[in-house]
Amino acid sequence: MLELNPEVSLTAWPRWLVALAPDRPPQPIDPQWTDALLALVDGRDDEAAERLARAFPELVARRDDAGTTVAETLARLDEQYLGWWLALHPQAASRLATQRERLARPRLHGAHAWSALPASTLVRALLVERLAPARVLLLDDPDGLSLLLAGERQVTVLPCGAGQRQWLAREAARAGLTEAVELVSDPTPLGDFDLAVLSLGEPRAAHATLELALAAVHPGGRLVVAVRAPWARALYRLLAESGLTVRECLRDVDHAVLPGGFPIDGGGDLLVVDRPAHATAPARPSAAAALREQPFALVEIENLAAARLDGSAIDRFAAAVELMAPRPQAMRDSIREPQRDVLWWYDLDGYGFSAELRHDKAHLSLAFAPLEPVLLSAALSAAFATLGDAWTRTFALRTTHGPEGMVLT
Amino acid sequence: MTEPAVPLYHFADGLLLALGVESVQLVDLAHDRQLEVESPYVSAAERLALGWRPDAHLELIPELLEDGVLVEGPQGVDPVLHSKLTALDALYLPAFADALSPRAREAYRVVLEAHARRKRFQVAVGQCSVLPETTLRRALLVGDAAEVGAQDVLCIGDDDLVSVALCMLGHRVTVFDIDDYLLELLGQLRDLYRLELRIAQVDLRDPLEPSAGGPYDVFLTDPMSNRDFFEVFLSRGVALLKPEGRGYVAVMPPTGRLFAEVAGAMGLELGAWHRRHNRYYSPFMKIHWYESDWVEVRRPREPRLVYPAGEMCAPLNFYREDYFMRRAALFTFYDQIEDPRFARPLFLDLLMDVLEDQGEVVLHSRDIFASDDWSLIKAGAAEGHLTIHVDRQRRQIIVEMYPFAEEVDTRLRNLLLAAYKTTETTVQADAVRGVWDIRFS
Repeated sequence: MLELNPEVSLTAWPRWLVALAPDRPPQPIDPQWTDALLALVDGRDDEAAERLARAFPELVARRDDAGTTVAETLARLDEQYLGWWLALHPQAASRLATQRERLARPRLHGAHAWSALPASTLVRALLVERLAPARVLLLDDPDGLSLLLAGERQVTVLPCGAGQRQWLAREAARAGLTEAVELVSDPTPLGDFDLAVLSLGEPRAAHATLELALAAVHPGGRLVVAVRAPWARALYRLLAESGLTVRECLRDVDHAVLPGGFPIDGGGDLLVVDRPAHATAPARPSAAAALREQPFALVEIENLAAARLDGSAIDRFAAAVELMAPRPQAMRDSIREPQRDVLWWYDLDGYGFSAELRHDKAHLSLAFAPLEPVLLSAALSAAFATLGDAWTRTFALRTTHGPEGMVLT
Repeated sequence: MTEPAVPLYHFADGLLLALGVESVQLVDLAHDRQLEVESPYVSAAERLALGWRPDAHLELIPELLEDGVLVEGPQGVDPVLHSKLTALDALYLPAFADALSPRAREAYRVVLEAHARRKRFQVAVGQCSVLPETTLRRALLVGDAAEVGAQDVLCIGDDDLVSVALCMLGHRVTVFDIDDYLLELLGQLRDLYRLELRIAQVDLRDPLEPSAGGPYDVFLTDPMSNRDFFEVFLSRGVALLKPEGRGYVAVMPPTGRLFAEVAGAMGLELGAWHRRHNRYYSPFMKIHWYESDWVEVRRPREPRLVYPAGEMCAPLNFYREDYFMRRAALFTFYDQIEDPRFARPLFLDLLMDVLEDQGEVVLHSRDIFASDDWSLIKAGAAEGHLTIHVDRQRRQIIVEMYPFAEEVDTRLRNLLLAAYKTTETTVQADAVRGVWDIRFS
C-alpha cells in the first residue's frame, strides 16, 4: 500500500496543490490530481494514486538523508510554544498524544484557515469543556477540535472543503467517534445548539459566519469566537452591533502552524460570548463601510537562513508566492541593491504586497495593503519555504484590541 | 539609600513614576495623562515612589497633597495598579489557573500585590516588567520546593519580582541588582511577606566577590538581547552555578540564533526553549509589544566563560537590543475619493512629479502598473520604498511608505487631498509599534 512520505505536507491552494518538505523547494501538483492525492493520504489502494506516485516519487519515497517528519516538527513546536502549559497539565498527556498523531497523519490541508498546534487545540478544547455545553457546533474545523470535544457531548461540524470533510470522517472513524461527530452541510435544527465555535476574520465574511452562529445557538447559549490580528478591532464593533457581550477574552491561546511546519508567532485570541435572546446579526456592511473596516498587515519575518539569501532569493520567494496565491500574478517588479531587495507582487484583482528583504539582517518585511487573507498565508508559507529554517519566526502577530479597547502598546 | 524611620508620603493611587531616556513622567492612570517631572525633582520623586519623605523640595508637599498627587502614610498596595494588573492577567490566567496548586495560587496573590506596590519604572535602562502571571510561570518552571526540594536560586536582576514568587514556592533566593529603588522595594517585600530572600547590590561588570554567595542550583535573568549582555550575564550566572546547575535566560525572539551561538561558544547545553513565554507590561498598564523566549541553559563540566569570574568586564554595547529594528512605517487610506477618473496613471504620475519637484524625496526606479480598475505606483527611496495603490472601482487610494518620512507624507497627503478629497473629510489615526494607520474617510 502506498503511503505519503511522513516529511511531506500537502496543501490545496486555490490554484495549485503544493507539497512541502524540509530543504526542498515547494512542489506544485496540478489540481487534477486531487482525487489521487486524497486516495494517497487515505492510504487506499488506488490506481490513480499509483500513477501520482510514479509522477511525483518524492511524495512517497523517503530520501536516504531523511529530513524531519511532520510528527517530529509538531512535537517540537508543541514543546516550544506550550511546554510550560504541558508541564502544568500532565494529566492531558494521553489526549495530547492522540491529537499529535491525528495532526501528523497525512491529510490535504485547506488554504483558507490556519491549523493550530496539537497542544494548542487541546488548550482550546479544555476551555470549551469548561463551559459544559451538551450540543456543540463547529463552523469549520481545520485542526480536529471536534474530535477532542466529542465523547462527552454531541458535536456537529460544518467542514470547510472536501479535504477537511474526508480527514475528519477518517479520523472520527479511527477514534470510534463516528456517532459523536456529525459532519453536515447545514447545521440543523437551527436554534438547537448550546455553543458554537467559530472563527471571525475579514469583515464581510465575518457577518455571514456570525449570522449562521446566532441562528444555530439558542438564547442563553454561547459562542466561542477565535480572532487574530489584524481583524480584532472590526470584530469587537461587529459583536457590539449584534448585541453580544464578551464574557471572557483569552489572549494568545491559538498557536497556528502552517503546513510545512512553519509556526506563526502570536497566538489567536478566544472570546467567550453570551448569546442573549435579543442578539441579531446586523445588516451586512455596505461596500464603503467594509472598506473603512479594511485592515492591512505589516509582517516581519526574522532569522532567515543566511545560506538561502543568495542573489536569487527574492525570485524564489516570488515564484513560490505565485504558486500559492489565490489569483494569478498581474504585476511583479523588484529593485536589487547589494544588501536589500524590494519586491512588489500584485494579483489580477489588485491584492498584493511589497516586500523588503534585508540580506545583512536576515530580515523580510511584508506589507499587505489591501489585505487578502489567503494571499497573506501564501506569502508567509512561501517565505518560510524558500528563505527560512528552524530558527525563522514571524515577529509576533498579536491583536491590539480587547473587549475594552486597545490593550497592546 | 537608607530607609527613613517614618515614611510619611506616597504617590496617590494610580500614579507612578516612569524614568525614560529623554524625560521623566508621572503617569496618572486614573486620568489617562502624563505629567512631566523636571530633573531637579526626580530624586525626591523616587523617594516618594517608595513611600518615603523626600530629601529635598519639602516646600512642595502641601501643594502636592492638595492636588491629590501625594497622600499621607506608607506606600501599600495601589488598588488602581492592582485592578489593572488583575485585568491584564485575566487575559491569560484562565488557560492554566485550573492547574495551580493552593501554594501556587497564594504565590500568585502575593506576586500580584508586590507588582501593585511598585511605583517606579526605570525605562531608560531597559526595565520592562513581566506580568505577574509570567512571574509565577517563571517560578513554576523552577518548581515548587515541596516537589523538587528547596533550591538555591540566583536572580540576576529582578525588576520582574520573580524572587518573590520563588520564595513563596519555598526556595532560598538571592537577588543581584544595581537599582537602588528595586533593592529597597525588594527589601520592603522581604520584610512584609517574611521571605527567605538575600538582596545584594552587584554590578556584574565588576569581578565576582566571595560575598556573591553560591554556588546556586539555578539562575534566572532577563538581560537586554545583545551579544555583550548575553556574554556578561551568562559568564556571571554560570560561574556561580553548581556543577549540575541550570539557568533560565530571557531572549528576544529575533536574537535567538545569536543567543544560541553565544551559549554554544561558551560550551553551554541548551535545554528547553520556551518561545514567547514572557509577557510584559508598560508603565501605562497595557500589554507591552516586547516579549521574550525563556531559554534553559545547562552548565557543562568545563564552561568556557567569556569573562572569568575574577575579571572585570567592559562591554561596549549594553543598553540596546541587537536585532534589526524596523523603522516606522506608514499606511494611509483615502476612502471614497471624489472622481476616480482622475486617479489614472497619467494624473498620478504628474502628482509624483510634483512631489519630487518639491525636493523632499528622491525616488528611483519609479514605475506605474495600470489595470482597468486599479493602478500601482511604486518607487525605491534611499532607505526604503513607496507604494501607492489606487482602486478606482472601490474609490480608494492606499499609500504605503517605508520608512515613514514626515515631510514627504505631509506633502504627498496635501497633494492627494487636494486632488481627490476636496470636501469634508474625517481622519482617524492609530499607531502601534511604529506602524501608523491613518484613514481619511
